[in-house]
Amino acid sequence: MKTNTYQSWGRFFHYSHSVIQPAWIQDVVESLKNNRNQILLPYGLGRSYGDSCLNQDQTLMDMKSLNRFVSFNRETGHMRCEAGVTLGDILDLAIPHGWFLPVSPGTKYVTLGGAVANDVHGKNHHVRGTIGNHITAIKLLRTDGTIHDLTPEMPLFKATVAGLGLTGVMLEIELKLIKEMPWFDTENIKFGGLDEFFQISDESDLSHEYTVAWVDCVSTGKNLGRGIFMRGNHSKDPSLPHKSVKPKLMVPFNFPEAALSKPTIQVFNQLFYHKQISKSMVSTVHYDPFFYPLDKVHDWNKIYGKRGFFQYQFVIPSSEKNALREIFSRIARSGMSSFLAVLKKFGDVPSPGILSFPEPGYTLALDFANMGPKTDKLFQILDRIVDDAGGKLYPAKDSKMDPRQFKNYYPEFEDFKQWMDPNISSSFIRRVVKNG
Amino acid sequence: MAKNIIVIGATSAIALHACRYWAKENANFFLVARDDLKLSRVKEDLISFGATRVVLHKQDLLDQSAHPRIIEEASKCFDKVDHLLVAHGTLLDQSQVAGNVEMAMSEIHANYLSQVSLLILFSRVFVTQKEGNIGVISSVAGDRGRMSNFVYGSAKGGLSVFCEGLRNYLYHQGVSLTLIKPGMVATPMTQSLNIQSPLLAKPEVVGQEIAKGMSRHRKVIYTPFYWRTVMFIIRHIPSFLFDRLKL
Repeated sequence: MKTNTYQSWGRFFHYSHSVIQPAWIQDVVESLKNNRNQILLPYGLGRSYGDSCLNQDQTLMDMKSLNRFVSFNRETGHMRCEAGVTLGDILDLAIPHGWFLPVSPGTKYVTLGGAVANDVHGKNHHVRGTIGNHITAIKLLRTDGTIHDLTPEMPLFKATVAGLGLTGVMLEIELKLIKEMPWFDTENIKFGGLDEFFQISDESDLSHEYTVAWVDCVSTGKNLGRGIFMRGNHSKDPSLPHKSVKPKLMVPFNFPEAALSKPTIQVFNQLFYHKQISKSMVSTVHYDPFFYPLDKVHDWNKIYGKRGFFQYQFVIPSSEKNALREIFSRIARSGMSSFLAVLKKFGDVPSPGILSFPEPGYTLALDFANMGPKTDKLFQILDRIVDDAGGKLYPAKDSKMDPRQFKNYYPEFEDFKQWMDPNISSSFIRRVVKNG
Repeated sequence: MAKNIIVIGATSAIALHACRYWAKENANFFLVARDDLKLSRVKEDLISFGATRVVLHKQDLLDQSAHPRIIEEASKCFDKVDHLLVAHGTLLDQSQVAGNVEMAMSEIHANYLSQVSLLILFSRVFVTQKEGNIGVISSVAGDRGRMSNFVYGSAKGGLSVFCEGLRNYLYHQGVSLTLIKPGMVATPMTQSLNIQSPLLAKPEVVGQEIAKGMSRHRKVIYTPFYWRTVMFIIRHIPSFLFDRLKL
C-alpha cells in the first residue's frame, strides 16, 4: 500500500495517509476484506475545504476511478452511477437528452459520493433543497462486508446523506434529474446595502429558481454590504442547443503572497462591483459560467499560496439580520476579507440528511487567506456572533470548529452516531467529537 | 446506421472512454476481457451512454488457443465490423522485470505476442469485407528503448512495427489501421507505479482522441498530441548523449 499526501481544497492541512485506489467495486470489497483493522475514509476529489475529507495517518480510499454509469432512464430522468462519477460527467451525459442536475454546488468537479456525503446545496435551495432531496437510492458497503440497498425512508439512508462519509463506502447512487434546459435567463441587479439585499432576495425567491448575491466585503461606511444580486430561471427557448462545455485555464503554481495583498483585493472588489454599470443587466447564459465561474480556472486554490486558505460558511436564522450586519462590518474592518463573499437565503425544504447543514435563514460563504493567529482571532469573533444568533457552521468548509461548537450546532449527532461505521473515521470528526 | 465495434481488453480505462464516444452514437459492441464482473460493469456503462447492443465474451487473452473462438463468436454477432480496437496489455515494474526472465517473457506475451495472434486472425475478417478500421494501442514507450521501461517498450516497439507492416498490407485491401501511441495515462494500470508527472493524461481525453482518430481512419495517433513532439525529440537525441541520460 502506498503513502501519499492527499490534500483538501484549502491546502492548509498537510497529512500523510495510506491510500487505496480501487478501480472496480470488487476491488473495494476485496480491500475491506484484506485490511480488517484499518481505519479508512472514502475520498472523492478533495473539494472539501477543511479536514472532513482527510484521515490523518490512517487510510484514504480514493474513489475517483469508480466512475462508471450503471443506468440512465431517458424517459424518467433516473440515473444510477458509481460514487466516483463527477457532477461534470453527469451533466455531459444528461444534457444532450434534455436533463439537468436538480442541485448544483459552486463546482462540477466533485464526485457524486462527495456531494451526497456533504449534502451539497446550490442557488436553488429555496426551491429544490439539497442534493439529498433528489437521491432515490444508495448502495452502501459497510466495512463488515455487508451491502445495504438504501431508499430514502430508511434511517441509514438519512444518516448517509450529509453523513460525511462516516456511515460506509457508497458504491452506487441513484438520483432523479430534472427536465430543464442548460441555459438560464438571468438578471444581475446591483444593490447598495444589506437592506436592499433583503428586499430583492425575498422578492426574487418567489419568481426565480436560482438566486444568490455577491457581496463586497472590503468597503465600509455607506458602501457596507453592497453587491450584485444574481437571479435566474431555466430558459424555455427550445432553439438553444443542448450541449456541455470544457474549461480552459489553469493555475500551475503557487502565487506569491503579495498577489493577494489588501490593495489587490480592494481593486478586485471595486472592479467586480463597477463592471456592471447599469442597475440591472439581463442576459441568457450557459450553465457553465452561471454555476461554475471558478471552474474556468483549474486549481484556483493555489492563488492563496503555500499557506493555504480557509473558507468560512455559516447559516443564521432569517430574523437575525442585525447579526449579519455585524458580521459584515467586522469582516470589512478586519481588512482580511477575500475576493468573493457569497450570500444566499436558504428556503425551508427539509433535507433527509440527519447532519445536513442548510436551515431556513441566511448563509454566507467567504474565503480568508491563512494569516495565522490573526485569522484565528477573526474567526473567534465571527463564531461568537454566529453562536449568539443561533446559527451554525458547515463541516464541508470548516477547519477550526471545536467540540463545544459542534455539539451546539449539530445536536442531531447524538442520533447520527449509532449509524457510524466503526472502521471509518476522518480528521474532522476526531477534531469535533471527543473520542471520535 | 449504428456502428459495429469489437474491443479486445474492453475493461481497460482507455478502452472504456473510447467506447463511450461510440456508445453516444448508439453503436453495437462485442467486448472481450478476462473478468466477467468487470465486463458487465462496462456493459451497463455503455448502455447508459446509448449503446444499442452489447455482447460480452469472457476470455483470458494470454491463452492463444482460444483466439479463433473470439473471432468466431464476434463474426456471429456482426455481419460487418466497423472498428476493432485492440486495447489489452500490462505494465509491470521495470526494476522487477529486468531481473526476471519469466516476468519479462510474460510482459512480451501480454503486450506483443497475443496481439500478433489476434491481429492475424482478425485481419482475415477485414480482408473479406474489404472495409473497416483496426485500432491498435501501442505506446510511446515503443519509439525508443529507455532504461525505465525497455522490456515493455520493446514489446510495444515490436507491436508498432508489426502494425506498420499490417497497415501497408491492409491498405491494398481497402482496410485502414490506426496505430495508437498514448503517453503516460492515469489508469489503474499505471497507478501502482505512482507516477507524478505534468504529462500524465486523463483516460477520458486519451479515449476520446482514440475514438475520434479511428473514426477518421488516422494512421498514427500520438495521444495526448504533445507526445508527438516529445518523442520526436527523444528519438533524435544522439546515442552518445542519450546513454548518459536516465530516461
